[in-house]
Amino acid sequence: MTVTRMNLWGLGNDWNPTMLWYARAVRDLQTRPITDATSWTYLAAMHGFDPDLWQGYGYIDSTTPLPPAAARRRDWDQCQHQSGYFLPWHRGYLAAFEAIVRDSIVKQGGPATWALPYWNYNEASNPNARTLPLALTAPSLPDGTDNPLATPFRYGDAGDGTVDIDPSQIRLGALTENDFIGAPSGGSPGFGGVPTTFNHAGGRNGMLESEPHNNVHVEVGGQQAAPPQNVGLMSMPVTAALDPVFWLHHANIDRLWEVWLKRDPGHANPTDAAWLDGPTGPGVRKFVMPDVAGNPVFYTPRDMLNTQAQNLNYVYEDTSDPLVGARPLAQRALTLGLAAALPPAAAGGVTQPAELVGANDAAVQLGAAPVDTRVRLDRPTTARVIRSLQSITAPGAAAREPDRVYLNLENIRSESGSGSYSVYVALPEGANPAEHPENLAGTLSLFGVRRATLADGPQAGNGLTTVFDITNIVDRLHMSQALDVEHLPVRFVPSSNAGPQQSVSVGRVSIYRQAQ
Amino acid sequence: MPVAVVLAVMRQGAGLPLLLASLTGWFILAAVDQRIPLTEICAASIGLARLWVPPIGEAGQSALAMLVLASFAMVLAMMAPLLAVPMTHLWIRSLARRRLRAVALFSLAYAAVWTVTLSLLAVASAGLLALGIGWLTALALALAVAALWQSTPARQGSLNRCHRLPRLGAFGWAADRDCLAYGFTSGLWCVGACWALMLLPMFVERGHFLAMLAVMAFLLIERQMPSRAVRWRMPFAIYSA
Repeated sequence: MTVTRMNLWGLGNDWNPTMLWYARAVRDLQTRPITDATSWTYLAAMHGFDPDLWQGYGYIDSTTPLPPAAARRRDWDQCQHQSGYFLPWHRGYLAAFEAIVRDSIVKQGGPATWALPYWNYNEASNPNARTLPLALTAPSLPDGTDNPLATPFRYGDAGDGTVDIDPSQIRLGALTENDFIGAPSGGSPGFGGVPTTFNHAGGRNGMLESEPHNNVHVEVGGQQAAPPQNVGLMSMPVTAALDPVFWLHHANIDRLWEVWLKRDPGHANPTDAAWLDGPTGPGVRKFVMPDVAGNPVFYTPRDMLNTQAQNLNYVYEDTSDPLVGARPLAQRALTLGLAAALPPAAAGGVTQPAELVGANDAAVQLGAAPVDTRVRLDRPTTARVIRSLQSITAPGAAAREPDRVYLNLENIRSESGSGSYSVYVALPEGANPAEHPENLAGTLSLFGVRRATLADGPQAGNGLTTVFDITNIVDRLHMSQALDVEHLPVRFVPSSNAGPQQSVSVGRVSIYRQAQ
Repeated sequence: MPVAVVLAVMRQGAGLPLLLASLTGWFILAAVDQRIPLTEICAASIGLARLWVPPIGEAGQSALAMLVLASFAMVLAMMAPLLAVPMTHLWIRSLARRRLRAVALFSLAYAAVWTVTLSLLAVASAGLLALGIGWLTALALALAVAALWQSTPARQGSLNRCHRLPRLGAFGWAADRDCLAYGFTSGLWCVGACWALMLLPMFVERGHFLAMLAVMAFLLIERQMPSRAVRWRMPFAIYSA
């Protein structure tokens, strides 16, 4: 039977049956030992596990018996990030969790139609959408017992335990990406991410993963403002799934995949076997989840394409388009003052590789104060970008979309697990960034950076790379004759009040062009 | 070479050029082998003895040249397939007109480190054989050294650092310096990870080429794996966490 995942806030700001049953099931899962594959802690460790941090939060102690090493190697530390597998892996993860929760609910006498709600923080008609309802914050259940859905390790953006997401960090520009899979070449990393093998931590964020996904993690988890300045569970992949709100956030991310597919007939899932049947290769781990009895079930992205298939069996209450048909090409034509819309790229066309236009001169150290850097631009390559912009207004020119331009923040490293920075491009001299949202390229969020920084971690300490599409900013500069062909200034402004206490470095800030 | 390994290489952007570079290396090795059998160059039962048994005459200089050439060809043949990720990194992060220059500078530094190392390893292996130790004893000794080194945390740490993708400057001397430094440090970490295994074929009197192929296949599979925790490990166990 197909179940319907409902909008969290639509269920009401009270102890509605869906959330009350969720709380009872979470409590049941939390009573199970970590050696049980259907326990709260085992399932969270499948996303990521760090024994020191887990002991710090009190989820285990040094004497807690852990599952056998072989099971841990097969199941734990499995979450796929900075990868085109980000969405299909998490879909399988959510489905397994939902089935185990439902099984617990049914055994407690609850409904067999229970489904995981989704937290739609972008819901325009609800002024409370960016906060959490009572069921996730109240200290106790209606019967007076402790509420397992509330955790003391959820600090929020201000570090005081209040969750209220900054709307500038949950923009849905990712929904306008044409391709699911992007290229790891400095251009668009795609809606769903770049091609990788099994990729647990480190690399290049896909567009949806970067915003809103990563930003919501850090906005919810945050970092405690008062000593000892603990980092919130949601801020780090190795602890995120210990917070019950994780699952509702990811249900929304999973829903946005459905929204993306539906909002444009040109949007489609990858069809190449490497993605559908991946990850493959000598010694490469496979995706695996426990069934309700705790037995391992292996899966591939191919199994995750149809939410109404037997193994998934759910739909979302609402997959309407939050951008109401906004098309990037039409918007771009408006910015560039064109009378007619730009033609879409030919279906099945080859994505052009990106090309470096320029980079800053040295690594940037970020802290609690705003930091400026300048991207030095290469004259001949910048001239190509400008020529492509000029070509569309030339008399008799064939209508073709000009180059798109991307800001790359490469090798982002930090030993801190939390914090975020608003990144502005080409701010006017002395301007207050808050008054120039049109210059906001995106938010650099530190979700996943800590593990990607470890020299002996899975990615050898290369850190993360985040890519922002700044085509619109460059278009506006071009149209107002304000495009400096020598340099492009970039400013990092700490955007969380409980900003990172430890240093953050961005190895290189660069600009790439991508011909269309 | 196992098909899966070749496919793994080919899937990466720089796969084909690197595979061709590797084949060139093998071709040079085969050509050198025609003139002086590689076992003699590598293990120096004849050629290398002339390097330190004076007087070093014309034949000795020729042996030295052959040694350096064979070492370089060995780097090309066995190491080129391992460099798909660094080459892609250099290509993507350089201005289009500087890409070939970036690759050349990296390769120069990387090959220099390895060529010197392999030449020294060959001299050392020759020295061992010159002491009168038989081929089999020498091979057993080299296997023991390789097994010991493969299991050390230092070796795993070196291997992990082979996955580094550092910042590269975009312009002028800063860009050249970063590419050279990347090649040099990558070469050093690569030597740290592979020197003991590279020593093995030098003591295989028969099936020298097969031994080199086997080592290369092992290194290639191992390089595809993500970094792992630095600790003592079972030697040659690729897939453990």
